[in-house]
Amino acid sequence: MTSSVLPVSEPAATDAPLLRVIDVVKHFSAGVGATVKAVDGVSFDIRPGETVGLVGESGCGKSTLGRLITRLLPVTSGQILFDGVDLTALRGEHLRQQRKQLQIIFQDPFASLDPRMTIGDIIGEPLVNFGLAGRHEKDRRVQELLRVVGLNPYFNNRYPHEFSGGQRQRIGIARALALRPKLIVCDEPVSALDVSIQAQIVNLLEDLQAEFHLTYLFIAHDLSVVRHISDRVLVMYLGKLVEIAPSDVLYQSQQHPYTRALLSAIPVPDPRVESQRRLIHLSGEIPSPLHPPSGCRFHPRCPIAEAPGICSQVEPPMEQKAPGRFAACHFSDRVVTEVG
Amino acid sequence: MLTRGTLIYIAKRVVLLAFTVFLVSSVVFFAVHSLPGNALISARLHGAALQQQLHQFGLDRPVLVQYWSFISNAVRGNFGVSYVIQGLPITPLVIRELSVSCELGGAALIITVGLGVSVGVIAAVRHNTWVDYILTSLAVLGYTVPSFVIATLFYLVFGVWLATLTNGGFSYPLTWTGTYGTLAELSVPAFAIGLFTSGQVARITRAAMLDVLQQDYVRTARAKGVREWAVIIRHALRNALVPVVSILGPLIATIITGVVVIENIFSIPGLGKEFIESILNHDYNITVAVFTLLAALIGVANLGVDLVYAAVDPRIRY
Repeated sequence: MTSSVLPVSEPAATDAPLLRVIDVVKHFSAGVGATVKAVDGVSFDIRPGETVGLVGESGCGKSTLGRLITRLLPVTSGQILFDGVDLTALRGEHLRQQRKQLQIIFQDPFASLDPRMTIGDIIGEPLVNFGLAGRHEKDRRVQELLRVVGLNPYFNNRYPHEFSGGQRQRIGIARALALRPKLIVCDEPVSALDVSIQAQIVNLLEDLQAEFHLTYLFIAHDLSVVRHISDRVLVMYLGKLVEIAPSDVLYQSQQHPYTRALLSAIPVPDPRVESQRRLIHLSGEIPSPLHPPSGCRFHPRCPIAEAPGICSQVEPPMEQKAPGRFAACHFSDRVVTEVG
Repeated sequence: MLTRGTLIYIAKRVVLLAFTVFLVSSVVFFAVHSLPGNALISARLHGAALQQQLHQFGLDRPVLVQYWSFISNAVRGNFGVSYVIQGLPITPLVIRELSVSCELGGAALIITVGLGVSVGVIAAVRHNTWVDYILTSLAVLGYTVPSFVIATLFYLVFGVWLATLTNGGFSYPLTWTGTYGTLAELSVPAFAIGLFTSGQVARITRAAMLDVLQQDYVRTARAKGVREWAVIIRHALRNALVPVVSILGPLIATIITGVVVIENIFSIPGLGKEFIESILNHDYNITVAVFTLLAALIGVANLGVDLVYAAVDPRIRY
């Protein structure tokens, strides 16, 4: 997909975007002659101070996209402009310097902390790395960061295995904050945690955003969490974005049948409503990204697709359907009335 | 680091070790004394002369009496005298031989860890490239060829071919001139032992590194902006060393076995050479002393490995 118009939330956005992702593609080779199209032409913008949610089923490529943006994986093609600098063109030391601005919080709070390092070293390593703090200054900064994320500042000599999942995720957040980045990619930061802890971490992320003027790309499959935290939501299906909309609007009406089906899966915390509620069951499994379907990738599972017809032949472009709302569907006007 | 718990743990291990060593020397004592023939077999004595000699060394006493006198002297560090080189005190002899063997074994251990870990790390970092294939093949070659084969091959190459090719102009020092070999004299036998064990270390290091490099915390380190060499050494290698340290215990036993074989091939005046000679000579006291020291050495080495284990992995506390 190459859209001439970049989907931003408002047509006349006053702020220059902090992050512009332009037609990013990531293919993994899977044996001889086979490629997995994990991310296949994705474009969007994130403005400073915004929280953008990225949702989709497991395997749709959302975590890969997060890693491409943080340059933990190289892109196959496309551009990632961060503050006007093309990250995809950077190598070695130039790339390393950019990491100060751009951090990531990982999903698994157990596996993502080095078990041989003390908390102080885990959080303080980036400071020492970039020559931002000496030995003494590092300890002071680490203790301050621990306090900011709600941990006892004197935990800095302990090891990761001495902490619970929620505490470890706080450590991961403190580590990401250490360099005072502008953008943090939160790669499913709460999905490995208990529900009660999830709320604490989400609230912490919101407080930190206000305090440090952070911008978030919040990747999740839990739609309730995304609704709570995001200003705008990107919906991803099989390596492509299918819908982009402000979150308050998106949860009311949808322009893509996949979004509608996805949102219908959110449980309502009221037994009477819940028993009346209609779930949209999508038939079939998510197709293999080795051989994505022709035309619209969603057409084999879509309840309103015209297949064989336009949906199986022509790939729908990402188009602005209403101010700030983008969708890639030939029949987006029929979604709300005919799906579900 | 040295907490009270660690000290108590070390004390317990030392007591256990002393008991093991006592048991080993007792078993060996009775074993050598039940060998056919007697301690003076090589002196070719008969009749009254033999009886007189046996009486002089107290060898005509009942074996339990001899055992008691051996143990009561041994706990004071006195292993008695040699029967073959008559009157030679054993303790200073075996202590000197132990230090020679430790020199050789230590050098082999340094080669094992140094070479093995370096090869393993490079192979893992250059995973599935020709560098990896060559290093992995060499490692397999290293640990499939026994040390005595490597030693004999070294002998042939350095001792014979090199001298022949240069018409005697260059020959490598293969026999030890002093009690302790020079660095050049030490290197060939040390490599003969170390190549075998470093092959195993390389293989385990490579596997552990490949596993660790896939871990989330290595990705975290890259995201932090840690330089690539620091990611490999500080994050990946430190974690990959745990399985390497855990095979070090058995490997040290292998090295000690290697020392016994190699010392005999290269005529190195260490404990391993004495090991064979004393058995062949029926020099009972020396045999028991050698076994006692070797048992103690293996025990101490294993205790050392366990302590290193705790230093490498903060989750392990004693």
